[in-house]
Amino acid sequence: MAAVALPLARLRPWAFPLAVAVVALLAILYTTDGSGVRLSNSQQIGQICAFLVASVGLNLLVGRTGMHSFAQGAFLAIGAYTFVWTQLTWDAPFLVGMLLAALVPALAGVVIAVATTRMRGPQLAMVTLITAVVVYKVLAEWKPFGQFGGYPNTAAHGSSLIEPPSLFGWELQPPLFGGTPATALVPVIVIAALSLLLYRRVAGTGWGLSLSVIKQSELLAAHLGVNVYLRKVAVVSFAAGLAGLGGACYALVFAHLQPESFALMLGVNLIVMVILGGAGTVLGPVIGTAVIVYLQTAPSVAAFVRWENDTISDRWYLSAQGLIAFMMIAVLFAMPAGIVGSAQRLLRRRRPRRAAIAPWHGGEPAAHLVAVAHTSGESAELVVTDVGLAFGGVRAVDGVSITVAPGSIVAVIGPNGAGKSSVVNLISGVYAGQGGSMHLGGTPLRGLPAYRRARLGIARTFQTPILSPELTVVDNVLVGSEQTASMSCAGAVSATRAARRARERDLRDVAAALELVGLTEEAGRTADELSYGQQRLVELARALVSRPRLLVLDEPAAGLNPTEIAALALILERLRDQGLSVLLVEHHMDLVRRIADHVVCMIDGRVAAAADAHTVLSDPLVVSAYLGQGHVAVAGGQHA
Amino acid sequence: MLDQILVGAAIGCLYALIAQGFALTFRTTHTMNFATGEIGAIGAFVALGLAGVGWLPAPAKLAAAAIIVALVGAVVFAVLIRPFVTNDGHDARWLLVTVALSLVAVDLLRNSQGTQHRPLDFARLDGVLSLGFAQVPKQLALLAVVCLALGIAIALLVTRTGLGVRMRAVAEDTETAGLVGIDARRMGMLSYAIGSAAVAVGATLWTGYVGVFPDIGPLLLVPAFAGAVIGGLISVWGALAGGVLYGIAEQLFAHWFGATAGGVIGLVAVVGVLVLRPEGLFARRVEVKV
Repeated sequence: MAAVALPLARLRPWAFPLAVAVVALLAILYTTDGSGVRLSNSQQIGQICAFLVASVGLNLLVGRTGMHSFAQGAFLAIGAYTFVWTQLTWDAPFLVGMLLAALVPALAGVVIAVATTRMRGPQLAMVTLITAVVVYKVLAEWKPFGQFGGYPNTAAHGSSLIEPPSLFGWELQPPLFGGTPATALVPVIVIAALSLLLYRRVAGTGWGLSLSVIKQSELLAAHLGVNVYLRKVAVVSFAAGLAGLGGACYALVFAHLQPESFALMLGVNLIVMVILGGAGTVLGPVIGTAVIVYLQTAPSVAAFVRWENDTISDRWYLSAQGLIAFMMIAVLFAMPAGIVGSAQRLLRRRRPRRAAIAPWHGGEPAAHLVAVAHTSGESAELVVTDVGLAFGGVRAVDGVSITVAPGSIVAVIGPNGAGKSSVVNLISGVYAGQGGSMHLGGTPLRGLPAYRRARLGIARTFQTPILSPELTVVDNVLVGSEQTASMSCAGAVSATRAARRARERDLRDVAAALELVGLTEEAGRTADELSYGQQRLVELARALVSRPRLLVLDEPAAGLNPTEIAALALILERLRDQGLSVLLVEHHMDLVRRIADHVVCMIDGRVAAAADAHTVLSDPLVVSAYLGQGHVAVAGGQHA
Repeated sequence: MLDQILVGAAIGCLYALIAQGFALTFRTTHTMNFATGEIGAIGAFVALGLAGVGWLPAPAKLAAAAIIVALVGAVVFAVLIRPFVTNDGHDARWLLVTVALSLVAVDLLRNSQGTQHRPLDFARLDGVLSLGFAQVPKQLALLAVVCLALGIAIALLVTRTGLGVRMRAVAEDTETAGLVGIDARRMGMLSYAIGSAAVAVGATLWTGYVGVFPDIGPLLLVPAFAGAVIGGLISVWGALAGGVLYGIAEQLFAHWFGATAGGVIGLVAVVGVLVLRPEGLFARRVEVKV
């Protein structure tokens, strides 16, 4: 057993939870002592906690997945109204009310996600914007919710406050009356603390990493075996559920809901909280939420508005809401990483990151990686028969057949535009293609989406490497492991011992892959610090830790210097010798001649020649395709 | 019910014009201005300010408001939106900026002008136009005719002229368009200017009917955006049809099930269209190459 340690965390594992628990305890002690002087501060703390739960959820969307949603405020509203409704109409137990407050928005989130996630780009933001406006309209205009009388209201419900719900016999009193301890803040603060810990845990799992990959490139995510569509639905719904929980907390704090609190501005404020604090960081939402809630209520803002009136104009000035919106513009221009993000960058510059992984000490790494792949037992022969692909009227691929036997390297060569990359894209599942058949180890591939093919064991690299520039080499390789593809949202939340062991195994694979491609020394650097050649090797390592049965490489030597090409040849030979099937699209004939067991030359979408390297490279048809007709006449096909 | 359909169609023409502004800027720059409603509000307030200039005929006042707002639109694009125009489809910072801008603009307008509705005392027709089988207020008829005429003019400009071709070239591939001498920034500013001017004219005529107030933005944004999505976001003709359809649906649903239903139908329609036909009702599907 080789000594592969867990990644060296910068903190002890219990340090962060302990700090959160201490802060939460202090907040509870401060808010529940019942003195009237602290009421407004207690309300502020309760409000911060309620919004924090929602902004933590939004951070998963905006920071991790790169999906901007304005509907988080609307989901919060739905959760709040659901909670109050359960209390008013059937006096539901507290925990049932909380559960429904999370579930109803989560379901609404599924609907929104299903409608938008198939589209790329800003569509989600646009549709959530409409959602926010419409939900506000319904809350403000629909009679059962009391319109602008609020919910509950004296006219319809006899009181403008909900009855304090009880938890384990405890009355949960809102922070509204002096002399009564604000017990409702206990669950609110605990939920906020738990949501923070939950975010931190989820972000570190394979599921959380897969969200970063989706943000980087949905194409890449699919080729790592991630069902992008389902995962986006899951994360939108998860975030909406957290928003709903935050809404229930909000209802606990104020015991009354006014529709004006849930206008579009709330959704905007939540986004500002996340971005101002630092999207994608654990503590960002805490800072952002505290700052915004403070700005909305602090006397200093009123003083600032007075200053505006005195010095600029008593008509043309910005009040609190306008100032927050203005701040959002300023942050996007001047500090896109947010407060916490910018601070982290400064710290990292001063203290460079240490390698996050123990180096490999387990013999031949190629043997480790490929042996793992072959435990499945079956043969990994790729058989492509007579496939075609047409773009409009252009036949890019026309009746191409290729077979890659286990333990062999097959190279596809051909002039630019011959359809080589299209063949790779047909095999990995980017295009559906027309006609023919494709099998990997006897399993038909036709009709399977890219992520299913990746799970069957097809791993590939891209012509231009797709890496997350801000992640370390280790993390960039780790996303190739199986957990990224197959871990469920529930699995990420519960984090079982089995999952932890799987992660240790994955890190072992990463160490082996880095050793194989010779990047052990660079493990702790971020991807944007690497040379182009090294970036391509990171992609190769990422493809290998997925335990592939077939490795598909799209021009792996392009942009590499001769030393790097020689190293690449060696790596591929070692993998081949362990029994891996490799399909390679390449222009470097030296590399092809050296390592390819079989060469297929494509011209104009068809296979022009297929045999061993020497035969194909001296075929007059191939030579003329590469060098033109004249060359053949002069050199008589002697030289390839 | 025919009255409702007519009123819906008339207001729908306003939505259609704004939706077309969305489609115009989206196809040129892959961005759109979510402060469009506030752009309209600014236009209406500029028009209100010009109301006192007695010697200027009403159409000239409208045109002046349109030109001022066109400049505002172009500047908004150049200063606030263009820095965030990237090839990354996930990058929605331009959207955040324009939404924030709309909130800043509303705040400024409320603080400086007050929230009350003020009558616009020019560009107004009083009374009701009777078509025999149905009736529609004359102001709405005027709104419909002007918006439709402007919308058709813009659609023709985009699809039939060299300028439109250059805009499409920028949309297709900014770099290549730059290589053949098309200034992407200028094309973007131009599309924003045209879109904003059209919105200003439409919104001002509409405030002739409902009065001038700072919060008209949200009332216009959702229907116009819904119209644009229904029409397909990049199709200027589709946006025109989508906006009118939305206006009619909104009026009918409000008539049958109450005002709230009239507002909700927009979300339902947008979600329905996105699920069943993501490219919109009137746009062709585009093949994406890897």
